[in-house]
Amino acid sequence: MQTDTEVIAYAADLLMRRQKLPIEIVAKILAPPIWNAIDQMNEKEKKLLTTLRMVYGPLLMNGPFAVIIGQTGKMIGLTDRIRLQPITAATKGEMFYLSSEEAAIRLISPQLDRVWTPNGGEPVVGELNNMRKV
Amino acid sequence: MKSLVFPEFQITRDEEKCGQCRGCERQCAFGVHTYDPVADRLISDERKCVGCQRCVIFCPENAITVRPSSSFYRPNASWSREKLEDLKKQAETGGVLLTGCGNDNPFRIYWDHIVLNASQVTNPSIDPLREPMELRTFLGAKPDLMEISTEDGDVEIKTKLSPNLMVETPILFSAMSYGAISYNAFRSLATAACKSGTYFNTGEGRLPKEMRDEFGKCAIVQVASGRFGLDAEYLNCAQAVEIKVGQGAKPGIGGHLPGDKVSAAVAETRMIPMGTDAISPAPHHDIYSIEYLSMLIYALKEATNYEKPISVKIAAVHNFAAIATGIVRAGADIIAIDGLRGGTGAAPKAIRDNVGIPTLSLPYPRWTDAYEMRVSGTNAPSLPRAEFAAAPM
Repeated sequence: MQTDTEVIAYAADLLMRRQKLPIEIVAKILAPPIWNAIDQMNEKEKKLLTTLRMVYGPLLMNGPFAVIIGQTGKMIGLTDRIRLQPITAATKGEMFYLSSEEAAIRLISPQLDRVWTPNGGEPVVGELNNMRKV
Repeated sequence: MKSLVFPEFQITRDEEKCGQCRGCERQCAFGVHTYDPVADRLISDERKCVGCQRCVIFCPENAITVRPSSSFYRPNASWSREKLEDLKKQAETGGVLLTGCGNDNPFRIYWDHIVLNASQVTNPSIDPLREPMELRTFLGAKPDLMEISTEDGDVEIKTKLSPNLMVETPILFSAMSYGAISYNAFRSLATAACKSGTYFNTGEGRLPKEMRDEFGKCAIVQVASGRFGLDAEYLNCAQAVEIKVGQGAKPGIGGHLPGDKVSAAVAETRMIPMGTDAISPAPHHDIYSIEYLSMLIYALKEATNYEKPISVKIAAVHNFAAIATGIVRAGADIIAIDGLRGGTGAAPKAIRDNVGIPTLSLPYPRWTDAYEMRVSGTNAPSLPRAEFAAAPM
């Protein structure tokens, strides 16, 4: 593999398509909280996150990143766990926008219904209501 | 009969300075200095001296000098001093020369030649307060994938997980048994392990009862071929159990603790009579082939209720890949590899100094061989992978 993008694409493919893990879990594998935070959580959360970090430790994405993953019928945005890279999400009617900068979204659609900043490690998922088969 | 061994140290006493205080006589643990009341002077027997310099330091007049003996036979590169003296000692005693500690030959220490490659672009952390460097490591078998079921946001882990050892500082202590080292040294290791968030290894000497409550949580206990004092209570007081198949300082040879080192306390802890040699055979007499290892591993898992990871320690050898796959197939959770220069309580000197290879010299392709041999040989979809841990050199 030559680029970071390829790595994330293969990781997403492995976790989502082959191992069929839901996106909330995948986000917790790629961008989990730090150990200090995990140690403070309740028993159930702590066990889940510790197990995920133990089993999928090598897939933890280190350093700043913001990715937009396209899956059939879905668009998923994720930024690194300490939010070094920015990401902004917005909706206008039936349209869902993801970008690293709000300015880029405003350029395409100056009026927006909702604009927000997702937290680090928190996936944002936009799903199509009906999929047109081509 | 007078020994022909050349004294290693020569002692010079400045008689003008010496005030006959007999401090050197009291300080020397080897009985080198004795006071002659008739002549009113101290007499030194160089043959007993080991060069610890204690008398030199404690002498109030600085009257004593102890230095390595500078004279010897004609220099010869083939017949070095060490070789000649070892031969004489062996001939005079008729026994195999035993020694402790680690190999003191100036072989390269490969770990000292590892440098850390820092990444300039993304890591290390840009803001260390917000992105700490996390060292927490888990040693043990991991499943290849996890099955999760989600019901109304409630996540259940369906895959059964093997027990793992959680290590905050991923540097573990090698096994140094109580008996091979003193009680104070052993206790220091245990204390240091607990304070640093890592584990110490009890070796064959067991864990003294008074230490179990405090130090059991950072202990890895060892099952060696001698099976000294193995009972379920001992196994369950620690966090992991290690089967010692080999040892880097003396691959292929079992353990040996000379009777001189088996004091009352050591004897009680190991459950053997005081003053007897504690000899562990090589190999385990119930593991004559790698297939039998599986029986021992599962016996230990049963004894610990499948709650502790089982580690197997082997000495670094050239064909370790084949051994490692055998160990993984046998059901071990962790493989520990011990290389040249490891310490020992007692080993034949010739073995300690000349047998064994450095852990890091194990060729890298062999590591992937070990992994791939495991994968191609079985159809089990989620066969746990064991972890490698490496020890000195």
